[in-house]
Parts: sequence; structure tokens; C-alpha cells
Amino acid sequence: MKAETMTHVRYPRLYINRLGLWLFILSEAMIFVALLVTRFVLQGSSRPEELNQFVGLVATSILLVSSLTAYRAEGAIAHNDRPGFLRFTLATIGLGLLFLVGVGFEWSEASKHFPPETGFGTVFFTMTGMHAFHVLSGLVMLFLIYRRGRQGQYSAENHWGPEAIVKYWHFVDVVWVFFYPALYLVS
Amino acid sequence: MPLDKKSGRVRVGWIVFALLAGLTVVEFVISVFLSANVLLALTATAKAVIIVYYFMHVAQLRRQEGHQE
Repeated sequence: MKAETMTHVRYPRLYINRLGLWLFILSEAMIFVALLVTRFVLQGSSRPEELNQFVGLVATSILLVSSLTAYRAEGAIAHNDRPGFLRFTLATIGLGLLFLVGVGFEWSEASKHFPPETGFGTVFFTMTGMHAFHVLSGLVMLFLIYRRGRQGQYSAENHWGPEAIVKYWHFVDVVWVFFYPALYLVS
Repeated sequence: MPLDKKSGRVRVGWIVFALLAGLTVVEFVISVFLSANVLLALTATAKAVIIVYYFMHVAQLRRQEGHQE
């Protein structure tokens, strides 16, 4: 028996997919943990007064709601509800775009008060930039599953694509769960 | 049965969302009135655990649940 065939006998394909995704998420988490540690090593728990608390809270709320819509999208396709899947995926994409607009607004404000050359500026722009890049890549993948969903390529029996992308989207939310207090709330 | 499962899932989604929203408000209050960084770290960790367990279905990996056949 070939080694490839043996693997399929011992572990279902879905289990291997999920395990691979979790390992990928763990490796990504290392980068964000390193950034989080860097923030406290370089700046302690200080933060500038000019930081826009309102924008931080709104961005957090948007990402939180997008996690719910992503969860609903995954649930919909798991129950063969294609219109629901498309609706909630589109809502998640819209909220993700809104989050990026918020980050763009915050950057334009922040660069006036603490430009990237300053200590806190370096930390702030690196952390939010890295996170925004992950949001952007999540949006690209959400758009791809939306397009494939419209073509009817997913069903209750076959929806690994949406499951994986939604897990990734939740991971991006988890990162922000730590970044938000680390940047906006600690004192 | 599938409809029950679906509505149960929707309910879990709303409960988790309400919990996360509540903890975010708690975080904000801690920051403004208490300035306790340890409490902030604990709240953030609680939020992360809730997302990983309920939204990312981490337990699914151990149980090896499959898609509907």
C-alpha cells in the first residue's frame, strides 16, 4: 500500500485539513505575540493622549460584528442555506472594508501626533499595519469563497473552503482582541 | 432535526456575540476607571478563549467531526 493511501486510511482528509490550518494559525500567532511583546519592551505601558479612543472602540465593534456574520455564513452553508451564506459573507466583507477605512482614518490622525519615526509610532504602525494586512488578505479570501459560493460550489457536504476562511477571519479577530487593549487601553 | 441544529447554532452565535460585546465594555470601563492592566489582560484572554472555543470550534479537531454526509 502506498504511503499516501495509508494516510487517508488512518486520518480522514477533513481532520488533516483542520490540523494543517490550526498549525498555520499557530505559526501566525507567533508573529503577533512577538509584536505584542515588542510593544511593551519598547514603550512599557505608556500611550499617547492623542490616541483616538472613539475610533479604536468603533473598529473593535466592527470586527466583533464581522465575526458574528462570518460565523452565521459558515453555519448557513453547513445547512445548505446558500442565499444565507452569500448574504452573511457579503456582510462580513463589507464590515472588513469598513474596518480598513477606520484604520486608514486612524493612521492619518496618528501620523500627525506620533509619526512612524517615533517610539510609539513605530509600535503603533507596525502592529496595526500587520493586522490590517491580515484583514486585507482575509477579505480577498472571503471574496473568493463568495464568488465560488455564487457558482454553487459549496454545500453541506462540501464546505471546507468557507470553514477554513471563516476560522482565519476569527483568528484575525482574536489578534485584535489583544491588540486593542495593548494599544488603546493600557496605562 | 437540522432546523433545530441551525437555530441552536444561531442562538449560540448571538449569546457569544453578547458576551464579547459585554466584555469589551468591561475592558473600556477598566481602562477609564481602574487603570488595571492585569484585569485588561484577563478580559482579553477570556474574549480570545470564547472566540477560539465557540466561533473557531477548536474542540472539533479532537472530536474529528465531519461535514454532513
